[in-house]
Amino acid sequence: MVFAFCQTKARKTKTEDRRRMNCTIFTDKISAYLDGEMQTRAKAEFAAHRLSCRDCCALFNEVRDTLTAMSEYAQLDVITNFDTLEARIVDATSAGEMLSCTEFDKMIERYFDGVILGPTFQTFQAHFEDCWKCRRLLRGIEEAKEMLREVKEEVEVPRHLSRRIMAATVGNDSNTFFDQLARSLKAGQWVAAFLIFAATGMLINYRYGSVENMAAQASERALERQEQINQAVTNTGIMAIAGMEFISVKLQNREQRKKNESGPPPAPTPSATDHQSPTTDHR
Amino acid sequence: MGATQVLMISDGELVRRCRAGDSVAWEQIVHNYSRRVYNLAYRFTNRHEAAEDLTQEVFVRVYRSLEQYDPQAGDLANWLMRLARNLVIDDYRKRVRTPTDVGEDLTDHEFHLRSSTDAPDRRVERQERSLQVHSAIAKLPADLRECVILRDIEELSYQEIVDILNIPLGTVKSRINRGRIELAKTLRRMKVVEFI
Repeated sequence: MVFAFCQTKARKTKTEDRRRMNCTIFTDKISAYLDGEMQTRAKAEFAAHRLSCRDCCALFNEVRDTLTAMSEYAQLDVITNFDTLEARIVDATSAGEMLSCTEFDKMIERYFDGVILGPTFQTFQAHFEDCWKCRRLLRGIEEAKEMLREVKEEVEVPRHLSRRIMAATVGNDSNTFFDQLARSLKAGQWVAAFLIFAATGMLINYRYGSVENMAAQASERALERQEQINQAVTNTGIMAIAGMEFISVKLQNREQRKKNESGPPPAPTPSATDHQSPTTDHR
Repeated sequence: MGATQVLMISDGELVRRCRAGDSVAWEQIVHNYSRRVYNLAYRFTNRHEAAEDLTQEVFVRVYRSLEQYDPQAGDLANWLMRLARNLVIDDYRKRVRTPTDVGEDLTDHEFHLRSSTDAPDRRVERQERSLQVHSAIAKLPADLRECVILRDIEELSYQEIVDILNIPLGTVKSRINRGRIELAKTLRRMKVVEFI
């Protein structure tokens, strides 16, 4: 009974295997099998199908033989004139035409920095020799660089530039009145100012003999003037006091007159008398 | 003369000399790799002239990019061939998108073995078969063809093909399988496969 059960199970497994590996799947798996990329179980199913299916077996053999033929084919070289081809390649990679003018232009900076390596430099050089436009360009740059090196004189910096820079950066503008005046005056104005100054000096010299004399005289006159002013102030003070006395006398007289014109005062009430009496007495 | 002098020099040294402006070293690099690049280009273009133009273009690109090559990062051969494959594939896809009316010069195909100990008649037989394989590959659709060439002739891994073609791994596997089956059917029709 156990034996019969095992036989039934084995039959079932074979049927499942066959169902799992049909011709379509077999065809899809040929390369995977030949390239050794199948799992052991899948490989066994594949081999079983190959043995059971004549068409699939024939196809498999054809593909395997094709791979052998391809392997032979891969060992063969195409015949051509390789010497000519090599010469052609070497010419093409050495000649100046290999580099376009645009590429040459891009490499100029590297050339002046001295960072172009061997083969590229050869190509660069070859293009330089072949192309007159690029030759002219490179020489022009070299001349310009040389000219820049030769120019050693410095351009004079405007005097007010530092002040402008300071004003623009830290905002510390040192423009005083005299600075502005100095900048605004032109040469002719400076000459006129000088002449006026000289004429004034000569006039002082002619009138006073020297500046010291002029200063001494001015000092004496200033002292005299000061005394005069002091005297005037004193006089004014005296006059003011006299005026004040005069005004106070006038006021007293006027009050006296008013009292006299108005007559004797009415009889006071007792309370009022009591209140007024000290004042009246005081007066 | 220079080529023989620098024959035994390593690729790293050759590149260093090239960078220093040694034209002989550059000639040596061209000599070492032009054949391989040309074959790659020819298998995609099927035309001698186009393959030569493409080979020249590859070396011009290599010459300009030589300063970027880092010997620590890998062999010169790998670096150069990666650059070549990218250029050849780009060119191939460009031509597929805008096909010209120029036919393939399959009648001019001639192959020779790099090294063989076969008898002359056996060698001729292999050469003829290779010519038929070449013709069969040329008949493959463009998308299958590039995958098959990269896998079975250039012997790249699936992942390398993914990187070059920029397509998913599943697509690469599927295209390689379909390409091989198509090729097998074509070769069967050409009575090539049965001879092996």
